[in-house]
Amino acid sequence: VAEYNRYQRELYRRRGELTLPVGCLNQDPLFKKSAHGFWTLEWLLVFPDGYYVRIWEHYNKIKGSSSSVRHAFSFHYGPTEPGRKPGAYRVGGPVAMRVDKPPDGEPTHLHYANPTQHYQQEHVSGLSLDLLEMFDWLGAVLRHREQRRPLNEVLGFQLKEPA
Amino acid sequence: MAEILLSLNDVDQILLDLERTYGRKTEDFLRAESDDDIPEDVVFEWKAMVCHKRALEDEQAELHRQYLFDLVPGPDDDKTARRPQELLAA
Repeated sequence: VAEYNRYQRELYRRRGELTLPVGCLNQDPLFKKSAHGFWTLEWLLVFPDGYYVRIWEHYNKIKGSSSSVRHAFSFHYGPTEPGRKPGAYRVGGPVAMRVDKPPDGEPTHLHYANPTQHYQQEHVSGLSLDLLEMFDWLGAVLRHREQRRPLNEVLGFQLKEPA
Repeated sequence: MAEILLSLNDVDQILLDLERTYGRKTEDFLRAESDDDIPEDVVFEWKAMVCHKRALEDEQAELHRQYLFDLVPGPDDDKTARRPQELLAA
């Protein structure tokens, strides 16, 4: 549950506290706002080795309330595909990790190393996909890069291969 | 800070551009069982734009309702004119 101005302030505050590697391009987050309580965020960070983080969130207002709720999100980390711009991923494109909560109400799922494999929550233990917060996830990506530890180890989750 | 304030016209234009780029109407896109031929980030953005459109339309309708309710008939107004409640019901 969030409120637009507070969400924006908090995002800038926590963004300002990040320790990013030298040469990391930290784009200004883009907010698209429409009716009261409805907004979409897009934020891109590109690392010197071509890997990038793309954070996308969409909020809808809760009916009868002044607050909004995260309706959908996509947290992507992976290499830039040759011939494409960072941030322009596609179905089947390379991915290190992406967590998607689709805007159509489909369950939140995880892509991990394999772009076409969808891990639903029942195949992921130790991480609540639906509740994943952008800065927790981004912090884990930064630690993964710095410490060269696998992302699942940094985030503390395990995968069970779907039958 | 990068902030775009979307109007209904802006959202309609974005949806129109998406429809032209991917060769399908928004209604068909929403009804389709599979959208594998469209980049996933575009699918998310497209559906989010539909949310923005519905929200803006609801907001506009609410404003219109408020406007009609706020209309107070003047002394010289035609007594046979329709009242705001009647206009709303129309």
